[in-house]
Amino acid sequence: MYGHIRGQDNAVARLKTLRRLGKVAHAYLFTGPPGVGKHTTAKAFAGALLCDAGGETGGACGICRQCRLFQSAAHPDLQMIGPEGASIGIDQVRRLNAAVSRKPYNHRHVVVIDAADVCTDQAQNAFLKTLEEPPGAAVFILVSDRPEALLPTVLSRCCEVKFRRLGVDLVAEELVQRHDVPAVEAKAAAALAGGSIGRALELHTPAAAALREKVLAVAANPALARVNDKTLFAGRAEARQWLDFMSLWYRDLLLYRLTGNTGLIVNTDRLQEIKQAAYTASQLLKAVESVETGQKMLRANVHQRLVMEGLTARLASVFQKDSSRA
Amino acid sequence: MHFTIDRDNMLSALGTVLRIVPSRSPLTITTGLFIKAGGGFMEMVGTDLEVTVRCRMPVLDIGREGEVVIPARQLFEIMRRMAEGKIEIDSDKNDITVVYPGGEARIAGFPPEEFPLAMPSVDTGISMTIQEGLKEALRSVIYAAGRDELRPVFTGVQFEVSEGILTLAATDAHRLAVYELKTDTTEPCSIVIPAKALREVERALGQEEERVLVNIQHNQASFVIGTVEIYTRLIEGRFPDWRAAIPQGKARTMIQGETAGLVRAVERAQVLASGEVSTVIIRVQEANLTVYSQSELGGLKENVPLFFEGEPVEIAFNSTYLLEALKAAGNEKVDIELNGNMGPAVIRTPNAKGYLALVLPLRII
Repeated sequence: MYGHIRGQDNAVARLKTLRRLGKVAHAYLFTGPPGVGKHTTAKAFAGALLCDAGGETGGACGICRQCRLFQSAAHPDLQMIGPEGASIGIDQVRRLNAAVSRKPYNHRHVVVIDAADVCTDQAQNAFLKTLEEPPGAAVFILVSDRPEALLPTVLSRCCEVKFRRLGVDLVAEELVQRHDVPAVEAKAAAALAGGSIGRALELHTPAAAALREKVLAVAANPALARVNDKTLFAGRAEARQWLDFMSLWYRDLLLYRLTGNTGLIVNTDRLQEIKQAAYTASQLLKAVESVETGQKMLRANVHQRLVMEGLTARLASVFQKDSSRA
Repeated sequence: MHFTIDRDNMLSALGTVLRIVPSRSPLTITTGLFIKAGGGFMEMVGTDLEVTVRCRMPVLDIGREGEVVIPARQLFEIMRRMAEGKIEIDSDKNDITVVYPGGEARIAGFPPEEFPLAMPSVDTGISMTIQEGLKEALRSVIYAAGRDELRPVFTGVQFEVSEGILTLAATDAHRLAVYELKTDTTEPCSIVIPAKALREVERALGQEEERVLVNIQHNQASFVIGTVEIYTRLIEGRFPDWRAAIPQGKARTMIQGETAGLVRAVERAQVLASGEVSTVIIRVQEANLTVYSQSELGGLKENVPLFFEGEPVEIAFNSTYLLEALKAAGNEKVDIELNGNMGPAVIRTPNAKGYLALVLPLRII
């Protein structure tokens, strides 16, 4: 089970040791950027906790009855919940509370809560009591890439396990080996993905590539008229991606302007353009700041179109004003 | 599968099993009934994943043995509107045909192999036989169990075996009900069974006293009553130490007499009590025992002819709690022990020695 997980040796070693020594705490919070193996590790850890044997390696044995039930996704003591729609609601948490308050079929309940940060506040509060004094030997595994969005009362009840960004080479290698992506494309996607296999897979789709083309065109020449085109992006998810691409683009420009080093550039296919760009460092800093503000607003549920329009107007003024002065 | 069954037998099986079947469930198949025909019987199983009820009924004829899962509500709604007579149930994979006098219904079923039948037991557990009194015991304690799922252990009833005595106890932190029964096992154990499962057991016990076989394992308990079997998961957690809550020694005020008069007086007083909890006050003073209530709706005062001795006292109760405890005593005669206006009231009955109810008073402001 742990075999599939790459580049998270610290986290995996720690979890295995805990299981081997039998010193498992009642709640864990797996944090780190999206798509680096938190959920996969959470499942592997859950399997190891449910396994009857496995005390020696710290992993699941894979052959006992509990492991077979786990592999067929039918283990009655394993509860996996994630957002239903936009959030994890109080009803889901109530069902969860009821389920773990009954004696487990085998020796313990294991609960995996994916994207725990989208729990509503009410849901988190309903969950506190169970999280603080879990019945029996129950173990909770919360997975989140934005732990700061969780209530402090939830955070303080969990042991944090940190997951790191993966190296570009490792991401590319994974894409090639396990997802059959051609090596060249894999490398480009890995560079843009910021150490996340999940993100690299997202970027590898033709839709994402097309979106990136559009974004870079706007970034090269920001003007309000261009984002008013309704075909540019559809929905929040795309708007979010849009901002990510934009932020990476200005990052590259800024990095090149300040260091002249091409080794750190992630938009490797646009090297020529980056080298030719004639923006000043202060312009680029302002641009990056604007994009970050846009990202923050998007997270705070501002309508995506308003965010984009505001951002483009700001970018246009940043690049125009300074260029007119120059 | 193909079998023929009398409509009344089918309805009686449905009546036993249907209550536990959820009308909506994240696992859709649990909204169905597992029906198996074989060995001259029809076996019907319903579950909500916590409590499983299994019931066996004789059939008229089995053409082909097998199993199906039929959507429960639909089957029941059709059955109860049906004239008396024979019913034929036929299935081809998951298509089920119900043939009744004058018509036939086709119902889309679920794949029976996916139905969550109870997990096979891992240990043999403790078995005991309760010859009589379980129905009375359940009736006397279940009412006191809580309904707040945030405190799961209070939604259950504790079964505790010690020296041949089975003690049932339920509490919601404001009141407590206890009942003691004789049993034939000597192995000590203490578990918490969901009140929901015990309500089904109480229902299955019917009018006459029946022998009940109880089996307790580390994670589930089962009750066998004639042809009905009820399996339930157990509640995890430590049941509160209720024995410490029962006042020891002689009560400061003792009330004795028939419940009927007191129950009626409290019921009348309740009508004129208002607020979130309806408060009824009992005052023992000089020669009178008075029940009264007071609110913006008005007030009521009534003398109840009961024997009492000890200190004078004025004590307020949540009338619902008091009434339920008095009614569960079931007997004509009760002893009510009071310990000041902040101490718990203890209700016992001289005729049923195993029963004890405890109600916490409300603060009088």
